[in-house]
Amino acid sequence: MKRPARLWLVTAAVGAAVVLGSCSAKKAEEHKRRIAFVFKVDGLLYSEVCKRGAEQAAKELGIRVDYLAPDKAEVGKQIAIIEQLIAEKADAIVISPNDADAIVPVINKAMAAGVKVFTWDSDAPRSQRIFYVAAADDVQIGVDIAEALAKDIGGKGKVQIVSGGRAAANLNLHVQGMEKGFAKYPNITLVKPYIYNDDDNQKARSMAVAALQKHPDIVGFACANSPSAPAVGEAITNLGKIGKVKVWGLALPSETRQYLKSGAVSGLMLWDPAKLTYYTAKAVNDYLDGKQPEDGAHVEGIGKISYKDGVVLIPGVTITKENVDQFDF
Amino acid sequence: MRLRLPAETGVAAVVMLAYLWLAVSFPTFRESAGLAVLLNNAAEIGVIAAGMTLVIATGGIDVSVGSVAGVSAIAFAKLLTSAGWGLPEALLGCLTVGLLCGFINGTLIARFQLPPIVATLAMFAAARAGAYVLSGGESISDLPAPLISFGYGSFLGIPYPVWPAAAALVVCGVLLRRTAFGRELLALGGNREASYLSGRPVRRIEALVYTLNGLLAAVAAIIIVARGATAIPDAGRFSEMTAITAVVMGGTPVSGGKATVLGTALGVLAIGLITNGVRAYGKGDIWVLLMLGLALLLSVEVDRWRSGERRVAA
Amino acid sequence: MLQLANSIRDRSAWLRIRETPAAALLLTVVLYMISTNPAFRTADNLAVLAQDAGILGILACGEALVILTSGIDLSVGSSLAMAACSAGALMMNGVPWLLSAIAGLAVGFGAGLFNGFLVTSRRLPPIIVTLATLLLFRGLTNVLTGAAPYNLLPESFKAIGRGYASVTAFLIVALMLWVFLGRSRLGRHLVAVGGNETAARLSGIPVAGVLRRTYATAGLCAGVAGMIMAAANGNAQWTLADGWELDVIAAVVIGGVRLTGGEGSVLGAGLGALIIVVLRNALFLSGIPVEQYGLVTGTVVAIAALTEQWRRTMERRT
Repeated sequence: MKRPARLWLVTAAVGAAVVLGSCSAKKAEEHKRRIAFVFKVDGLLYSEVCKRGAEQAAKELGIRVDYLAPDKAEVGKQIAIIEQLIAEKADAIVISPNDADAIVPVINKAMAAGVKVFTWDSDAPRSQRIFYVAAADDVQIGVDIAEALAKDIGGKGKVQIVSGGRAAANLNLHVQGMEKGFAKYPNITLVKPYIYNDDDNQKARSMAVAALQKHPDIVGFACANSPSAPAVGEAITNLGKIGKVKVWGLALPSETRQYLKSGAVSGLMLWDPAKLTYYTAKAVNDYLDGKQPEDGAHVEGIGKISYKDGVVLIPGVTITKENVDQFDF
Repeated sequence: MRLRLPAETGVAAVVMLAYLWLAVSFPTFRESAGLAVLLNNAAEIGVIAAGMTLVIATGGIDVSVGSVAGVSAIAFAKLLTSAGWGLPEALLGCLTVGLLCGFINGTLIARFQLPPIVATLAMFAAARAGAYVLSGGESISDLPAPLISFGYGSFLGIPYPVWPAAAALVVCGVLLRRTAFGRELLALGGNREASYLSGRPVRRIEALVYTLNGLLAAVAAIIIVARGATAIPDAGRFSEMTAITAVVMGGTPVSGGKATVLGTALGVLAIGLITNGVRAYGKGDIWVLLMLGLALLLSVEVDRWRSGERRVAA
Repeated sequence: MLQLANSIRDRSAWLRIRETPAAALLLTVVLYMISTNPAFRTADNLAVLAQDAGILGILACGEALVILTSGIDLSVGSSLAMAACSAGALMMNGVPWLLSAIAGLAVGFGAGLFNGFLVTSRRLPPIIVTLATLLLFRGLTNVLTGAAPYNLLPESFKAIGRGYASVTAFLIVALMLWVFLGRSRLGRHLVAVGGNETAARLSGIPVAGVLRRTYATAGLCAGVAGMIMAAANGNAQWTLADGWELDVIAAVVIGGVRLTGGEGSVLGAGLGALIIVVLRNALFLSGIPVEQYGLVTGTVVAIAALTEQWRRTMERRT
């Protein structure tokens, strides 16, 4: 076939498709309320557990709850997803942003277009989001972890702080809390620089090993993001330092259980991500019905919540080798 | 008498089917807002895929474009923030970085005759590391407002980033079909030894095509930074694979000698439809990777059928 | 005897051995590290080194076979994860570890066979096929496992991940493949196909069968590496070996295997893997952040390739 003919054929075909597509019968779609969660990255176990909560909420409330995430923890990809959701006229978007500031323009754009935006797991405080749902105050949990670790190592020695993405608000607040907690112990020195492993399992592992080899006198790790505590636990196990180095962090019990049992990791402070997501979906749904979250209310299956200055907090949980088997996440 | 279908048939069919399916299932795909998002997402891959078509036409490959985009993005952002340069100068700086990386690739391949996959593999590793060295591992925000609005605004109803992407595709298409440069590229892909023995300035042309690819990677970097409102050292990761997928889906054979930029453009559209389609179904992006793998296999299979190569292997 | 002595002294003969540059580089780096950095020599460090070397080494040996046929396999990392998760899932459901491991190997083998089938009966270019299966296998593993970590693995299984076990496995695999390439008919056919596929076909070699078995072997190697990696990490998750494919190819290139096929050896690939692992370790200990290693790896790959070019030019002249 001659080249010009080829070009015309292809153009005509694509053109026909576009026209056909545009004229396709506008089916009367029953408009189901749609809440779309946008997490930091797809493929983390933490994310999969959150998804369970979203699915449960969808079933119970009879609405559509989507759970989207980019394949890499990049805010640019989250922005692309949110723009699509705006075009799709979702009723509400709930985000855990990879970058608290870069996400602001698109959040505001969504709000301006009539899409209600909320944050969960990690906040974008400088945006127009309606409220933020978390389990335990982001700073306080850092303080609690620092205290637990400090007691574990006898109040002195070198401690390495480990976090995920540098621009994630929740992680930075955890780190702030850790610094605050450790500040009370003059004999504890913090190794600089802190490790930032971008929520990547492979990086978490290799950076943990590198840290232990670079500073053989580290006695404790304080981990802010979910891949870190198990990764450090593994490094400690492989380098034969169980008992000599202690680890406290935020991580999933299912990813850390063998290290909790062997003693490589001492304890975790977390919350049930499924419950957190489930509750968030309910709270957002209620908001769309005109009901605000109630400070001090007791929510079934969750516990007592607090609501102050746009932040909703649900209770968290401490996990050690004694109770790790209780948890299914 | 057999009707020889054009190379773009397979991908055109995919685009049509995917679009029809999605347009029927989701209203967004029928509306301009949804189409704008689709094109916006496709823009960065479009730029890279345009250059990649030319590279593959020569029988080569360039797996470093993602990393080159990354290091260019960081250089761009660093110039804007730490060095305090103005936007036009920083843009030039960004393009220069990409050009330089592409030039190194071109030299290794044309001058030193390294296999393209080896040379671009080395650049893949080195450029990404370079991005981390330059940025200190940090992401860079605080970018000037005009840049951010480039990522969000539109001109004549078409989002800004689509314009450079369309331009890149058109330019590469014209280069391929209507210039001596393009003819040489195809000759090189058709028979490398003959081209090199013919006495024509093949070395220069081969080096040029990789240099151009580096430049286009830098253009993509600008789009990525504008859309993301930040420059991260990981910018552009995996985009080389997506671009190669688009080119192959479009009907350009990996062995070189033949190429179609129109096919590549359709391939980029197909990938955009898959990505946005998965998201419209409310699924995570891992499904996008799965679907891309299937789409790639499908399109190569269709191309086999189209070109009549249905004999079973000996 | 005299001939042997003479040939060892013959410098041009050393030039003719394609693995010489790689061996020389490895020796240099190791000696340098041993003499300048005490942390390198510690038992702990060597154990971690051995672990990584074994895994990358086995992957590189399998990849070398494919590259020798002038093909390529980009899906080895994804096959590894698929195999490891299959075995892990079985183990966590009470299946004895040996059976689970065998199942894991079967999965790896199957993945390779799938690649081989696509390359031969569908006549699709290997780089595209394995790019597609890289995406497919990785995505499938994620979806089928739900990102779950299979981390309650039996102690006896985890023993195969220890440093010495990993290296032993690597040496056994390398040896077996070396013998296979040099001595068996299939091995000779493999190299012939890589050298000139048309000539090989014309001389009666069953090219399709050879190719299928080559890709299957690479898949099997990925399976073996997957078992060791799961044992070493005490965990099998879908992200295992994510992004390793280019490291594997780098190892093969550094080892002097020609990407256009027909020339090279498993020994070279093994050396290349060792070089990458030792270099990485050296960079670790010098405190350079992980993401910056690419500068060194990239430069080494470029230099290795250039050296190989130079060596062949020299070889042609002597």
